[in-house]
Amino acid sequence: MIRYSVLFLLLWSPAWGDNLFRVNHAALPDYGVFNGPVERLAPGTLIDLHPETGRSSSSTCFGAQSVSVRLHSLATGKDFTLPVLRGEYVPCEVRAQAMIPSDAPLGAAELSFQADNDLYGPAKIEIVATRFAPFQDFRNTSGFPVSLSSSAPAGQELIVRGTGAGSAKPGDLSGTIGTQPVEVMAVTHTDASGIDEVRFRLPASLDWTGCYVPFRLGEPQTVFLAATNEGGLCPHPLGLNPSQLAALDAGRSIAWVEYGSGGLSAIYASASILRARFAQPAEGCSWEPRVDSPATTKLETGKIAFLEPDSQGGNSLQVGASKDLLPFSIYYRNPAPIQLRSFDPAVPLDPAKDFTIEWNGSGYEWGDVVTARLNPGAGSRPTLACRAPARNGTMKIPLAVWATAYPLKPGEGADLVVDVGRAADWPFTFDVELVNGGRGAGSVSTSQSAWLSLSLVGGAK
Amino acid sequence: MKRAILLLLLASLPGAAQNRVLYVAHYDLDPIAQPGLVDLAPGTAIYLSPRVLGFMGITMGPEAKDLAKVTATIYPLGLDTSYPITIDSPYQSVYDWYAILPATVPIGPAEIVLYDVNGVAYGPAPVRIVRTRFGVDSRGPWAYSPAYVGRVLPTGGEWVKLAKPAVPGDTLWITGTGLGLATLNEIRVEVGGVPMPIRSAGLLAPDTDQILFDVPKDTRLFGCYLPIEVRIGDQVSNRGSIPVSSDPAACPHPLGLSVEEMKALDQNNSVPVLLFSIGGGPGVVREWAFADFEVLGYMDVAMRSGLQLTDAQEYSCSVELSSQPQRATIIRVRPLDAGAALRLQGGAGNADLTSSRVPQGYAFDPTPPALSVFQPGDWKLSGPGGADLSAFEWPFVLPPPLEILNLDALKSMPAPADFEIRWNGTLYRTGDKVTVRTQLDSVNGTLVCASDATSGRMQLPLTRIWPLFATSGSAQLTSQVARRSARPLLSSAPLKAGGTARGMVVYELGSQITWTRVP
Repeated sequence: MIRYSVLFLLLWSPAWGDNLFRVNHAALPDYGVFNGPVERLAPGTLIDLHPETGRSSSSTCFGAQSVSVRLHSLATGKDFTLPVLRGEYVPCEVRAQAMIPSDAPLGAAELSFQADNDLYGPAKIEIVATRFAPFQDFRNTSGFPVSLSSSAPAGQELIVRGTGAGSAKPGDLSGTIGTQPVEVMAVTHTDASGIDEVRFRLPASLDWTGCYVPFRLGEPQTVFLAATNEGGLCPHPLGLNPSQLAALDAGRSIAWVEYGSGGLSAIYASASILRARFAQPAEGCSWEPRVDSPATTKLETGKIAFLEPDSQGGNSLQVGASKDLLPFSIYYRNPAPIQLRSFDPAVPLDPAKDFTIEWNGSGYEWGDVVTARLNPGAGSRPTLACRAPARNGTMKIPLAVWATAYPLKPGEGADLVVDVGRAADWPFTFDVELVNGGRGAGSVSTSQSAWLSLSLVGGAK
Repeated sequence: MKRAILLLLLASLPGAAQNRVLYVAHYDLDPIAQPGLVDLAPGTAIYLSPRVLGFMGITMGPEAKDLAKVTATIYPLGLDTSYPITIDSPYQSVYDWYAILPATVPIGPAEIVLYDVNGVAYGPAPVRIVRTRFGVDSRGPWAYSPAYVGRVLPTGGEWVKLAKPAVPGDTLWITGTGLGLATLNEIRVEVGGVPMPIRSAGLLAPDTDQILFDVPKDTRLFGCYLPIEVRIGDQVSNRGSIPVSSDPAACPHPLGLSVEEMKALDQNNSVPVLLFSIGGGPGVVREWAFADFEVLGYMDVAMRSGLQLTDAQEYSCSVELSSQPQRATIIRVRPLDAGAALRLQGGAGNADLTSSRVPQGYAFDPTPPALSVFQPGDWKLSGPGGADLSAFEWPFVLPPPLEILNLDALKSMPAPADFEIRWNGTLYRTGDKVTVRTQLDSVNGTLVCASDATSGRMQLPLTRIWPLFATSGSAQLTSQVARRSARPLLSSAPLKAGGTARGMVVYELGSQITWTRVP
């Protein structure tokens, strides 16, 4: 018995290897960064665990039979075994979900992960009192989900599910829908699954309505809610009819054709695929989630014939019939290329200060948006995306936000990509008919980009 | 119990709905439980395979309690209508359901959703409803598998079998599923590559289509395993096999089986068959020989016999995909004892084939591997006799392995173009076949081209595959001289219990070249 205990201790010794794994809050984006900043997690938080399986000839390439997760509190020296709630296996990658124990002491801690005989970690984390972020999961107080065909009406009480509330009380959480605050009424912790429910009330009149109204609660993480002043069907950017909205709500698909810089594509589009394309965060800056390309099933498209541009600079093309689609036409106008003013990328920028870019805002249409994305020149780190109407002609980029979260080493630079295009929720659309007589939807993604390499002074030493 | 708890947890967590998937397959054409877009005609018999993508890669079906009653619906994309799918019964696994698409579902893209008894949805699975996609019912997924073909008689009908083959002047039926909206004048039934006159086509039962056709009185195409397939427009069904003969009592069997032996196979009994095969050659890892002496059933005899293709069918190019339908019925086999070991003499010396348990038979597969034993020339396989077989001697001649004369030109070819591979055809005999396989990747499969070995040349249609090949960047080219399966070197050995066991020698002498092209 003693021998087994010794063996166990040896196995779980923090010195047992350098196999990395990353931990992230299940409701926050996973940027795929190993050895990133210390993740802050509240007791009772649902977490995603990703071992870096590519580094070892591990059994995880063949599917692990068992996984276990342990937490070692550096503050108290106490050890915890975490319940593993869910696991998924994709080739050479194991992803598991576990929950931070609800009695985990606050302060620094380490997480260790074992898949069969492969050991990963430890990963440093910090246990904090609260760090709530919502999932894309809204219901009314009767338990019915908010959906595209049953949007939330102004003034309604809703429940959003999320994780990481920890010891938060209603007064500790603040949130917005669009640009208006919401009233947080109650926080309920469901200990067994790591899911928390927050009850809140929408404003009596909504300034921003639609199928994808940005919503924040707790962490600066945006999810999207179908909300209208009257409730019922939401006005979809693609102009979808009630039966198409109902199909998406039921988990089915619509035929969606998009024309953009990548050419013409037609797919079976689910609600989540359309949300990823058309949900538009509010103006200002936010971390852009790492989006894994969803598996899609393609529809067949016919041959494309390009027509001469018209006198207004409009482009037209005609697409022939295919096995799935009848012939259709597309019309769109590209926005004018972005012209940045008085900006010398060779001059190093001070990461402690805001950085303002200016451009010629004349000639843009309502619905044209400028997006500036700041990301490091190398490696996989989150992108800070800032948006402003193209007509504004100016935008502030808070370099400090980016540089504090992900300090650059001396000599490292960053790329700034400035892009002007139609707002995601205001696209050029076109009609698509299927060979079965049904209706699909079409949209155009237009953008004009400028790439700049920035160098920042005073990187982390 | 643990599994039940796990499923409850899955259902309660965010994103759990994505774990419930549905796979759809055409009954005769597609692998069961594989992802991907499937083309189906209205009224087609299909498999529906709900799955929960579960913990640590374990894929499982719904909980048993969900199996009492399930429903399925097809939703045409973009339409405000739906059509119930008739679910018939579980197939093999309780998680795979046999079902029939409605005949009225409109042509175009659609999705299928399966609901368990609690209304929990699996899917949606994308499908494309097409006018027609016909699959032939056969006894297995392979081309040599006997198709279900019957003969129309004044009193009804009977199945066509080896000892009751189709004969000139017969009216036959073939069944399958997926005719859909095909019209009579666009349906072609081909036997041995020759179109047969069609009499009628239509629904025989809710899940079965039937085509009636005649065997022309002047046909001269005979064999026990002639390929039969159905062409509708530019679509080709799966292949099955059919026996056709001028003799109503038996077809001309490629292994020389007697009428009594063929009757035994027709009645799902088994017969002794002796197969001796030799493989290896330059560039191949090792040389080997294997004597597979067994009592075999219908399907295994069909497999060893192979399809009896016309020269035009045999000597052509096609793309082989790695996945195959999974439905098959294999009759169990019993090994035959021919003594403790067999001896192979000739060429560079002797080789002993010792008794092997896995696979069961007599094997020559030495360690370290043999690399130059099987020289061309005269050889003899002999056995001392055992519990089942008496002593025997089989003489045979091995051809030289294939030597491509202009391989350097292929490797230095500057641009994709069709290419003629050449070798010395005078070294080979009638019945020898050269096969060149160009392995692309797991998605695009393998380009397989075959040619008569005596011709000394083969046209490799690289321009046809170049768009596929360009994605992989390199290819592996394997060439092989083999005995054409429909024309093996026949032999026999006396059975101790009386009678004779039919035998054959086949060889597969190959070379393997890694042919790297950077597009």
